[in-house]
Amino acid sequence: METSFINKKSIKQAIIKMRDDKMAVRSFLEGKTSIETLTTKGIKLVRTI
Amino acid sequence: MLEPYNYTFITVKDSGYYTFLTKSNIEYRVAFYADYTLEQCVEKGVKLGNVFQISVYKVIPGVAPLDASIAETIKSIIAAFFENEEDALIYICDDSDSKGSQRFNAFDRWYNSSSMTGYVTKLNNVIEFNEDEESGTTTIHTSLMFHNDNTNIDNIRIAYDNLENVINGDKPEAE
Repeated sequence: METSFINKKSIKQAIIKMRDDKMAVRSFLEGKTSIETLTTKGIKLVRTI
Repeated sequence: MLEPYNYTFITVKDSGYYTFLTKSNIEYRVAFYADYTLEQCVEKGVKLGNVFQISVYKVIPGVAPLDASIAETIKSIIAAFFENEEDALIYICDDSDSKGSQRFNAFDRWYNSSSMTGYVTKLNNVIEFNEDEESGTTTIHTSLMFHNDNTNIDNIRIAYDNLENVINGDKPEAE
């Protein structure tokens, strides 16, 4: 079985990415960033409803 | 009775966002996207289901006239999101303009005044950390919402607790 561990550094990086993703999406919704820019960051806006 | 505005989904290539127009002609945009933060907070292989982040954006900057239908519409969009019981939703308020707490409280009010309180749980975490040695403390207000019938509730709760615990230097909870 593959083992893994939870560490502060990876969580901190994940939180920073969470915050940066939000800023990138905001920039897209403002019309300042293209959808391609989001795609390169690995962000896909989805239809949930 | 207060009615939500009609909203539509605007497709942009293979992505898109929800949009609605208020009686004051102010456009709001709402976007959902996958968020993998909680996956970092549990051991590999632990099931969390799909976790999405939500962004709400008012297209015209500045203060908009008070309009309770805006909150009704956002509540309606989020309530529809939870028709899929296995999806969880994370909402973050960046504090870079010192308005994080204000947005956080507004989101809290929307939730508490909705019918969702009966079947959706909302947890809050305020996370503070230093991005690097030179920067000051970054504060991020976060909320996590999940359907009470979500089959991954225990794992989701542990992951979200760990988000705060590990950043604060506490030992993570085990699954």
